[in-house]
Amino acid sequence: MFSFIHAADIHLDSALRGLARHENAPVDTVRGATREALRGLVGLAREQAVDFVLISGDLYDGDWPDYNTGLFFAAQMAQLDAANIPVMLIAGNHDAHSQITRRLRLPANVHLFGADAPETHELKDLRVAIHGQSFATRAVTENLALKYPAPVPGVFNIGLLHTALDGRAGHDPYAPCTLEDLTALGYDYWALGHVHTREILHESPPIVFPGNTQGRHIRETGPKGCYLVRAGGHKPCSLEFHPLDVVRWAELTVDLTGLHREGEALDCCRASLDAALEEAGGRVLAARVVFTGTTPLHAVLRGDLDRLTAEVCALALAGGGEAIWVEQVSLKTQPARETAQETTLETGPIAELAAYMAALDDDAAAVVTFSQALEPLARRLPGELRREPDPLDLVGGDAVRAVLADALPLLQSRLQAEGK
Amino acid sequence: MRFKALELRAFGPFTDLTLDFGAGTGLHIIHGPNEAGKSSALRAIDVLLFGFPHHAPDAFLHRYDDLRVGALLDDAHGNTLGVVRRKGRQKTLRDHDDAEPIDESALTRLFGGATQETFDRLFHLDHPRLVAGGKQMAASESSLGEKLFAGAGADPARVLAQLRAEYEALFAPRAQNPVINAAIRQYESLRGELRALQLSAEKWERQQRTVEELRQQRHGLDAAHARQAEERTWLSRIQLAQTPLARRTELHALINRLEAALGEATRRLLMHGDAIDALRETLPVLENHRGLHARAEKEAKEAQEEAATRWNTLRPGVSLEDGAAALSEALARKGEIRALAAREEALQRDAAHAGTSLREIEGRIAALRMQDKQGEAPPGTALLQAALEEARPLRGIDREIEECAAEIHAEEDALARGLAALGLWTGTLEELRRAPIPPLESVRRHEEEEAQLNRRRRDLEERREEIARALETNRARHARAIGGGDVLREDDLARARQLRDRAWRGARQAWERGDLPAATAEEAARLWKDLMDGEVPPGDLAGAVEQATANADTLADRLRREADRVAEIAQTEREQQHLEARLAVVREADAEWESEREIFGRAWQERWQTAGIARPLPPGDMRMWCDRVEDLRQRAQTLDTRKAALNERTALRDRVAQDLAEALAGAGEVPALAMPFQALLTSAEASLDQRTETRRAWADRRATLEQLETEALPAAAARVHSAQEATLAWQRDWTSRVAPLGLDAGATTAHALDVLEQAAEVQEALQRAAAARARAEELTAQAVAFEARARDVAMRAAPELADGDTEHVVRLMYDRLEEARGQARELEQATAECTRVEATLREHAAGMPLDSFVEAAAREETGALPERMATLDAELGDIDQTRQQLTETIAQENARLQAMDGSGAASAKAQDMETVLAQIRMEAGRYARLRVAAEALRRGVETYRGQRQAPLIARAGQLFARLTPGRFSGLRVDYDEEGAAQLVALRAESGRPTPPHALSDGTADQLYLALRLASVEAHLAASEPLPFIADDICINFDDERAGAALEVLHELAEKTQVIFLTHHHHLLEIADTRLGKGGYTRHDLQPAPL
Repeated sequence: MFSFIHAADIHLDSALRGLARHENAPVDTVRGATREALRGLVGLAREQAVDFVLISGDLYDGDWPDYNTGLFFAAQMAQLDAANIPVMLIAGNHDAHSQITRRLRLPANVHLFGADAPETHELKDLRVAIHGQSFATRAVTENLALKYPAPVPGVFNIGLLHTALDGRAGHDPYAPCTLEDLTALGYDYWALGHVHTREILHESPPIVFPGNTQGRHIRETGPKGCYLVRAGGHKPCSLEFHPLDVVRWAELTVDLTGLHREGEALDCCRASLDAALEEAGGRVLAARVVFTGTTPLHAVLRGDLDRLTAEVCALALAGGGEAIWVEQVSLKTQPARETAQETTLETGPIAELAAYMAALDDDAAAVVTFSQALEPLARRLPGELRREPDPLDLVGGDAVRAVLADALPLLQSRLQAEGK
Repeated sequence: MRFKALELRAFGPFTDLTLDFGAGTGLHIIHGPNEAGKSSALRAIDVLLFGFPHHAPDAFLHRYDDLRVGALLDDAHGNTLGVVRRKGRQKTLRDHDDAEPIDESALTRLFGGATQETFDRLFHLDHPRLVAGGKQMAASESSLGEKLFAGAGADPARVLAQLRAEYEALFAPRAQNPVINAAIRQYESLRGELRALQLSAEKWERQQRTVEELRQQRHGLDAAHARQAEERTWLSRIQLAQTPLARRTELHALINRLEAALGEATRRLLMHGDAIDALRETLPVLENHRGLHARAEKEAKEAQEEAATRWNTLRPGVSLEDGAAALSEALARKGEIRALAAREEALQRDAAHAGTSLREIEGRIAALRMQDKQGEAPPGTALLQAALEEARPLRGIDREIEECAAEIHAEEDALARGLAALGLWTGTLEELRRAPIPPLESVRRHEEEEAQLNRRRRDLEERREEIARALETNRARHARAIGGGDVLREDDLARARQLRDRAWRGARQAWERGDLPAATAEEAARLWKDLMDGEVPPGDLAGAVEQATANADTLADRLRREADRVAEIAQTEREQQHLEARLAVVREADAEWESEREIFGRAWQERWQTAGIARPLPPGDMRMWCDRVEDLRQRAQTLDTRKAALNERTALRDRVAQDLAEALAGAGEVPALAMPFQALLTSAEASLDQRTETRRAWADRRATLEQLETEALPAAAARVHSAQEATLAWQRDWTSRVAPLGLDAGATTAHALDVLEQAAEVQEALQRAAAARARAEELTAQAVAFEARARDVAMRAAPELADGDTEHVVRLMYDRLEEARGQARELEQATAECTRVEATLREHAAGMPLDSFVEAAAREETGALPERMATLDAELGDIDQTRQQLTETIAQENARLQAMDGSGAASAKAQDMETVLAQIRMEAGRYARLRVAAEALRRGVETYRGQRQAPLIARAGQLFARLTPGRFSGLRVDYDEEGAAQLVALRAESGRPTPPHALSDGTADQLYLALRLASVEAHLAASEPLPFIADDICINFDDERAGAALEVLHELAEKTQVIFLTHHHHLLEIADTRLGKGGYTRHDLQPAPL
């Protein structure tokens, strides 16, 4: 019997996105999150005294030039070296692009597989053979698995591969291959990387995406970490997930169906935050709160989104102190009084304003004038806001139409408030 | 939708108040002074339609859970819906019976889709909103579109201003401080800081290379230094080894010589050195032994002689050898003899003691027998004790009886006084106790009846007074009304009209007959006589018609003019009749009361006659009299009981005293006659104590005598006997023990002990003689053993000396041994020094074999050493200095390398940039929303103006003209220099356009009202009507304009229900004047009682 850790997509020192700064934010925890996750991995390996560690690529963020990141990684690997734990590593698309990968000298216990052809690295004492190939360039579009060698007979064979497999949402389709390509090779375990969502694709032999070790934005929710694998003997491998993240991302859906009072809505939200915080188990919770459901509160809430956001943030602060960082408050509720609207249309100036604004959707010329009003700001915004996967567009037609849709309830709310 | 009824079942100050709005739309004016709950009623409408707010201010009288507002609501088709609203979280709308919840949609259907906001904004107008609206109208900076908007209840100008302020606080293209501008600046600044913190791979490698090269350099220096230092050490070692090398050579020569000098005989002696040393040391001991031997022999002889001498003294004639055995036997039992001697005295003491004790006991028995010679027991005390037991509880009875008798006497006196003070009664107390006095209940009933009669009396008097006052007031009113001259009555008018009609009929008949001229004065006079007797008739019938008509008209006019007065007179007269009738009723009641009072008085007197009281006091007093009689009766009863108890106690005392006296007499004591009870009791107790004591002493003596005779006497006799037995036994033992000492039975113990002492001394002398002999023999044996040992050693160590005197041989061997030992020591010292010198040399050789070192040292030229060493020292110093400098440089460069330690500072900075970026993203979204909303509102308002302007302005203009009668004729839209549309009011007289900001406050309010009503009408034209609720909006209107406003609302009420609330009574008067009483429905709210 032997044991090893399988991790991938550490993206060391890459920043967590979407958390707007505010007072009481747990800034320090968030700053060191990816490093802390790696420390956790090293700690786990030592504590469990595993026989080796596998990292299936994307150790660094491609365009991150700070050599300190590499030095930190090397120092962590040195700790594993001191504990006699070898590390097998392949470069992923990000690493191939990284300056650090090329220059960094790693401790003797770290083996980085070459990029020219698949290599086999044997751990004779354990009777384990590990096959792997690094990415040579950022975009590897050929099927690397096809050239992986036949298994070494009589030992436990592991394939180390950075791949999008047959395509995964939100991930570049690098080193494409199929599950059949992998199972056909007859290895005992496939340690994959690249896809940030944890997934066991195949039970026997296990073909595994361990996901990344620390979620970095709202599309990377839930526990993040690595697999501790026990193998050898005649039993099937046992896989045990160990969370390593220090900031837990969560999208909390708060269903307001049937609620009539804002207080009740906030109570629901509070309960949801409390539950998520409990689930995060002492980690910082980075949460997006999405209100859904059919509710008479729809108009009131949409009318003052800023106030709603402030209320939710206040709830988070009261309930979790610095433990909760509200990423965004999003409103996807539906108005409750459909029937009323069907029977008669409102009249009067506010109703006519609504009709006017509804008609704007189809009025391309008008949309342009609105987008012109936003041009000065759009020109000043930092370029980083336009980067993938969530580019900010202020002046596009659809963006303006979406803003118009938000503006109407805001106006209704304010004009009606004025009437009182 | 309209309210048919609003039911304030439990809300605010109201309990079950229903405002009934009846059928149809119409204008409803709800009037109530302050505190009457007008605001509550208004809130009730809101609550009914849209539910309770979270915090209800109307739960001060009714509990939250009890709050209820109900209504009957008609829809456009005349269907009625009854609902009740309660406070709660859900299902707050219930059916009209408040039994089951019903769905909100049943209610919302009636609004035709209008929301609470629409209702509030459009259909609900109060004074503050009117004033705010007026200000909007007057605001010169707001556009026409905004004003039209405002007329429909919203204020786009203020919303726009707010939005602008908010988005400009977020971002402005050329500003520094708005939130987004500041965040972008911070972002750029962080970007700069990040660059400074990032470490490039090249920089790190360069640094690492530098450190590596420096380290190589230092390794080279280290090697050179090591080589030089090694040579320096070698030379220094050679120099230090010079002296030991020379000494080593010398020592080797000495050792060779000494070894050759040591011979065979010497070695043999050295071999047995220890044995020879031992013998030599024993010589002085031997000498001493010889002296000790002689002394021991002498001591033995002297002790033997002493023993013999003592023995002869003790037992002359018996040889020591013969007596020795008996002697030692006697001495062996010396302890027993001493013990026996010691016991003799004790035995004698015991015997004497036992004898004395026996005699004492016999004496005591004789004395006791003498004392109790009579042998009679004293008499018993049972009878006396029994009598005492009964008597003791009665110890204070004489005093008790006395006090009780005194109290009874006092109470008898008090009762006599009570009876005397009672009044109405002339008999004795006993008679009073038996007299048939009416029971208290009956007296109370009479008292109640009398009180009732009195109350009725007072009532009647009050009524009479009240009526008298009213009559007085009415008379005064009547007098005032009459005071204005003679009074015209309806009858007078009727008569005048009758006259007119008949005059006319007469004239007409005459005319038809054609003899009008004929029907003349006569006819007229007849008419006049019938109806207006006493007045001068007109000359002819035509004149009569004319006069009668004029007369009737005049009367009618007067009657109409004086209607109030006439009505007042009529009313006061009616009132007079009414009051008089009431007074008659009171009088009747008076008479009735008098008769009842009479009957009551008679019955009361009869009630008391049987008790012998002819003239009872009134019932209240008699009730108190009865209370006192009852008290007397009860006290007399109590007194009887107490007297009986006293008699009983006296009898008891006498009987017990008799018993006591008898018991005392039975014991031989005769008490004095008629002794007080307590004295008798004390005397009996004393007698009992004395007799008890006598009896106890007699019993004690009997017990002592019995104990002495049965126990003490036999025990003393037994002790005497056993003492005699012990003395005999001792005698036997003693005789047998002292016989071996040659003593007979008669020997005293003192003598025997003396003989025993002497015998012990003889034995001790014999023992000393034996010990001295044994010591002499031991010394002899030791001398022989030494001789043998000395000879044996000599044979082995120096056979040539073996023959001869032992002591001499020993001394000779010892002398030769000392000499041999001197030679051996010299050799040993030389060898040891040589070993030490070689050890020193080995140190210098530093691991090199000694011989090789010695050879190598021999090869070096000794004289050149110091100079060579000095040269090497100088070279080493140079190397050290260079190396020191290099070490420092390495440390510095290495520190630089170490500082590149994988710090997270750059990544932390990148993270900070992300948070700022996220903030910018969020704020940019807000900015876009606010900015676009502002833009949309601006455009929307303009569009609304474009579409609505014409009809709205036209209708509002009509309304405005009606609201400002005579001052303004309407509204118009003008365009200013920039072509922007402007609302203007048109002056009535001149047609001059006046901008709204030039209007007075009140007029601006009316302009707003006109626009609002026009908007409401526009809404009504398109939608389900909702009630329009106006809350005291005419406060600042003058009467004229208030009237106009009410008329306008009255018109609106044809289209939808209008509910107008006010607390100004004069508005009701205005409404009466302008609309007529039937023009509206009035509802009054009364202030709740405090």
